[in-house]
Amino acid sequence: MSQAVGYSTTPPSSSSRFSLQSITSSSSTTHTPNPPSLYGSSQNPSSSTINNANVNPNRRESARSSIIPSQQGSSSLQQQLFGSVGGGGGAGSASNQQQYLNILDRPLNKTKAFEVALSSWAFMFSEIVSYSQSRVDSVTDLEKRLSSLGYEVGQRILSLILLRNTQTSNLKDPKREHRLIPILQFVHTQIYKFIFGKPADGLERSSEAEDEYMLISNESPLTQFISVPKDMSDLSCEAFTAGLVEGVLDGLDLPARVTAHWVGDQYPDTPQRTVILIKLDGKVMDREEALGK
Amino acid sequence: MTIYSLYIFDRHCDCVYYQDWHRTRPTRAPPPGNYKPGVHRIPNTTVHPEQNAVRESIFSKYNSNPQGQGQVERDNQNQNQNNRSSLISNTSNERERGPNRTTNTSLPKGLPFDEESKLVYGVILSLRNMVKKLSGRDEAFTSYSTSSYKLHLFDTPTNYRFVLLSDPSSDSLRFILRQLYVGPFLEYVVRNPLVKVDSRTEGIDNDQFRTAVDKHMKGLSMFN
Amino acid sequence: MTIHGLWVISKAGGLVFSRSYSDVLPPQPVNTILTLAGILHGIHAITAKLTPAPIPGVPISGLESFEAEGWGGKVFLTPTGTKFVVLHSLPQAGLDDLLRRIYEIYSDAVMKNPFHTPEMPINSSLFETKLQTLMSSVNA
Repeated sequence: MSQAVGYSTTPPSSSSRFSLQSITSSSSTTHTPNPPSLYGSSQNPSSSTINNANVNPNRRESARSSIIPSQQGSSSLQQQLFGSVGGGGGAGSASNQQQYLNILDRPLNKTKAFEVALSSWAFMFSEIVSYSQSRVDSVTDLEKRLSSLGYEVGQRILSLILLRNTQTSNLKDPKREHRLIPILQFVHTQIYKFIFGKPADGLERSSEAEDEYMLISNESPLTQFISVPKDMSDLSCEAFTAGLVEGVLDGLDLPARVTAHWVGDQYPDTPQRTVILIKLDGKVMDREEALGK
Repeated sequence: MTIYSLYIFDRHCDCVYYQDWHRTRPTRAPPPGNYKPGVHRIPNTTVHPEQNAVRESIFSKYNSNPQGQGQVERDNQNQNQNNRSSLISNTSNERERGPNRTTNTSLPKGLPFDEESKLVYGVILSLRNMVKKLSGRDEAFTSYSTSSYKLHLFDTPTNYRFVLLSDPSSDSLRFILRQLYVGPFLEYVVRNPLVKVDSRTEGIDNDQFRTAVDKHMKGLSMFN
Repeated sequence: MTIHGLWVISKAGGLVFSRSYSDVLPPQPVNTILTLAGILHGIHAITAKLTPAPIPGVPISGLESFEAEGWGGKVFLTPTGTKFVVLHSLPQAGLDDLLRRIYEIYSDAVMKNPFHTPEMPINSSLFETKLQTLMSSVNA
């Protein structure tokens, strides 16, 4: 009970709902007996949780790290939500907890068995959209909001993917693409595969403008369940993906304005076809020209 | 497979006959104000035991075996007496016993009979209207089922409605209702001058009909 | 089996969706269906009360199906109280699978749609398209 008091400032319930969902999907994990914890103190039984929450300057972080339980399913909901009292304690109890690793304690380069169910994501994204919708006046503002959320995600994903690529290829000195076309291909293949499990369905260059490229997806897992009402027909919830792509491109020093457009009406076979339009900044084109072939 | 209960409604939407067999949640006797003679012989389990003892001996038997099986035996006994008078004495007994309803440990949880029969008729009527409206033709529904029972409906041309409740897995049992109509009903109700058909104040119950229905049901392969 | 129509009734008894998929049953004005859905909701509650012999351990349920001459209806109640009513021809082999499929489509296209308000009429083109595809595969 004291834990509940200590963590009175935990993140909103929606995020804990989401994390509960991910527990179920992370059932088979190899366990490191005392996982190197970023916020290990919150798992330490010797430090009282109340004090911990008050003393720790990074209080919100520590609360967040303990949302995901390291306890078996039999523990109470409270424990599931706020971590267990004896979490990370003796070696004996550790074997019990190996199944559910804190999201921040997981090895960064491991992806297998840490997937989240598509339904969980779909429900969460649905909430994100309706939450955003209740705080904007126009379709443009809503797209902007979704885009800015995606931007944050994109930046983080980029760092993670680059880190993993470096680790898996065992390179001493990390390298990254710096030319336009390889970067776009990187987004088309690696980023899309990481997020959606498959590469985008097409990468095209606009015939009208030299600095415009298009990422095409026939059915995005992200928004496949959403049907936009008629009075907002020019809204595309793929604005989130657009923002994500923008975040990735920006992280690779390729500033661009990225927007999403639904073109399903022109393609009867794929009614959900969406184009992510990338309009590159002028300085990118200048640099490309300077670098030459 | 089993059979739970039989209701017969007349064209005035009144229940004129009721009989049940394997009910584990039996219906209760209606409050005295709503009692209608000649419809059912639901044991009034809320009788004072002393009062019961004063009554004819058959009532102790009656109470010790409140489920359907006891009724026929009692009916057979009654048959020795004058048919009509036994019916009257029976109803008057029930009337007298009515106000003595007190708390009894074995009070069943079911609805009082008057409410239950109204609900059955209400459901049939609404579902019938719905089906009629949906199909655009003058047709009635034949049966409906829930997870624990199935209700079969048979309409006669004279607007009597025969309703049978059976277990949910049974096939259509309307043929049984038809058999009851052309058999016992015709024989012991329509051709019986002592039964007040269409009276609105009295049911069609009589010993011969009840015995015949019971015999017919127990002879069916799906009865048990 | 032919599917004649589908209704979705909210847990309060209001009709939130109705479509006809064959012309066997005459088309009805929406108001009529709205009334009928309300009646069905009531019938569902009453039929549960009439249970003559509850099976121990099995929860008492209301109306699950009804049959008329040549056609019938099946009521599928979700754990959250939403009802799916399918009007179909007889015999109805594979109806249970179909209802599960409809429920699946409903959870995908309606519940995961941020523009849907729970308990309000369903206004999702995706839901309609997916149902249309499913029904034409059944009715073919």
